[in-house]
Amino acid sequence: MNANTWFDEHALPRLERMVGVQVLGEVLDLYFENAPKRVAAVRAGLGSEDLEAAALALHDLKSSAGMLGVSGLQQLAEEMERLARQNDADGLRARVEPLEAAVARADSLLRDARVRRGV
Amino acid sequence: MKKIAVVEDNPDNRLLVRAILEHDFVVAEYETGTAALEGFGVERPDLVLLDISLPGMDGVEVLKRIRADATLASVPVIALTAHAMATDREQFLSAGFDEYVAKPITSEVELLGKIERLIER
Repeated sequence: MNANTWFDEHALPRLERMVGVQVLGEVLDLYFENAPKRVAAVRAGLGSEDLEAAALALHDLKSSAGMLGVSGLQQLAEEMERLARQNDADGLRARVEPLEAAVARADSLLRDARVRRGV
Repeated sequence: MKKIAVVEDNPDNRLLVRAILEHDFVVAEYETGTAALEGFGVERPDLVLLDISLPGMDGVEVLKRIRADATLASVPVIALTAHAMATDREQFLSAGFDEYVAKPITSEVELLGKIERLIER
């Protein structure tokens, strides 16, 4: 997946047209607040063997990333949600660090895009 | 104004949907199916936007309970789901949903059009 498909630069302008710049800013604030909590919930779910809780956190992360056009993160979260629902703890555990890296990359891309759009 | 209930655990999705709807409708938000069913008992919505993947009681179970309740059974319910397979729409309609909207929502016109068709029928 190249940089252009990993992050769809058109997603934020599309959201801004739908709901305006103020709500877009609020959506981004919620994402920045919640994405680390969802990663922590995946780790906690693995630690307590509650993969259903991990799946729900990954489902929400997938949904939020999709809304914001971060397709690379969306796809990884989707793959991990499937693993969690299949009760594949090893497969899930192996992808936690890539997930953290993807969330960090998404954070950087979204903050840059936010500055460029003046949101 | 007509009342729309949004049942969705993801706060950014709720925020987006509220922003799209609030100019034309009264919007009530619920994070869980249980909270929604309790709320519907107090104030009957004119339409429900119902996420499928909810914590605890999922959207399909919430729909079953709506359809089993004589005071709510006729309320139109739209499935909100991140599933995006071409066959999903038929599956959700056969499960008893009145319409289906895929997430992420990329067109407010599509969402409003589906709501207005159901609410006016």
